[in-house]
Amino acid sequence: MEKVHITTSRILTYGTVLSLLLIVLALIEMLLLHTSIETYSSVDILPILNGLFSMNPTDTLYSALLVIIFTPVASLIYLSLLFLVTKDIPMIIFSFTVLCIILSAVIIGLGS
Amino acid sequence: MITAFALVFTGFCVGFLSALLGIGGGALIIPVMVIVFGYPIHTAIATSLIVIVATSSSAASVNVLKGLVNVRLGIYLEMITAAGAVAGGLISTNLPEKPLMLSFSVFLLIMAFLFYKGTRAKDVMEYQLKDTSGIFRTKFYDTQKKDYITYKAKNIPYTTLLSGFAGLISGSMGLGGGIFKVPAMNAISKLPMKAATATSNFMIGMTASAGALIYFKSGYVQPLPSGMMVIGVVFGSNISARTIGKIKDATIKNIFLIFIVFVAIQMLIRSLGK
Repeated sequence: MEKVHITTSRILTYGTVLSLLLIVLALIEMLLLHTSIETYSSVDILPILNGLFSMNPTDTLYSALLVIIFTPVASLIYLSLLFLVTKDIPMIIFSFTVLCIILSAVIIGLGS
Repeated sequence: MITAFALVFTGFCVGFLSALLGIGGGALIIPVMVIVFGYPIHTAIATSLIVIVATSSSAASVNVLKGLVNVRLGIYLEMITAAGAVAGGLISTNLPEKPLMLSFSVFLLIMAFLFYKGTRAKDVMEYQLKDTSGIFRTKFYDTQKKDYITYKAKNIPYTTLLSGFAGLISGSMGLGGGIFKVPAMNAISKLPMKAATATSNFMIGMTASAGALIYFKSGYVQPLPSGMMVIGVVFGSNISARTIGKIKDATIKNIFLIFIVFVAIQMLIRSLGK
């Protein structure tokens, strides 16, 4: 088994498990605090993370979704850095191009 | 409470099928969210994108470890798919929806027919043994055949073109694009079906994460239904990824063909509707 496969698999597993744990935590908070989950009309990442630490079930649930969204990006960042270290030139070009495209899509989307 | 359990169960079924076929599952989730649960279309698309990412991460965590994912080929094709998805997202607003859907549904039906004929006519592994050309060489252990399968990706320019097209459709219609990538990798690049679905699954999460973040920031994500679906999807796709090795390639191909025809008919009905 190649190390690259083990580490990539671990990143994806940890991201998925962390997201699931946060969803369960949000549901427990909701039941204990007798509050309902709201839907925000616009979402900013920093206030969500602040809400996570102040036991706000809505923010905890949004944080869980944020973790799952960033999980494949995290594995791509790891693979890009690995290709960089091993000086695998074609794969460096491919992986960083994908990262740039994802980043540009996010910038275009957030700007619209 | 009943709705919450129904969402978890729907997520489980979608996750299982999506991980098995290497698709995102958008074609299944969006109609169910809108028609069955009554959510607005934008909420359905936002939930669908998050569910696609969750399916991909959960299934890929198992498939990468098994060596089923051709990581290098996946990243190479993702470069083209992601570019196509951005282009699709940008041009979709300027194109009339119904003629676009009609042409896609006809294209899908033709593709289903070619996929059916192509895979029956020539066995992928026989082709791999005869023709030693190709790139992105790798191997995996097939638990069904109880042997290591070594293969190379053939005819890369054609698969690259189809992946770009998959991205274009993904960006313009909110689909995962696996419906084009899997047949392209299997029938054109001659990847074993399990490797094709696993590699497609790995790629889909990256494409969907960018779209999901945009919808997330715009406030279209309803956290509770999305969270419930994610719970179901993670378990469904994880179980599916652990089962895939025991299922015959031919069975996966047949289920995939049924799915292509289902999506094509769904698009055809939408394009001919009022």
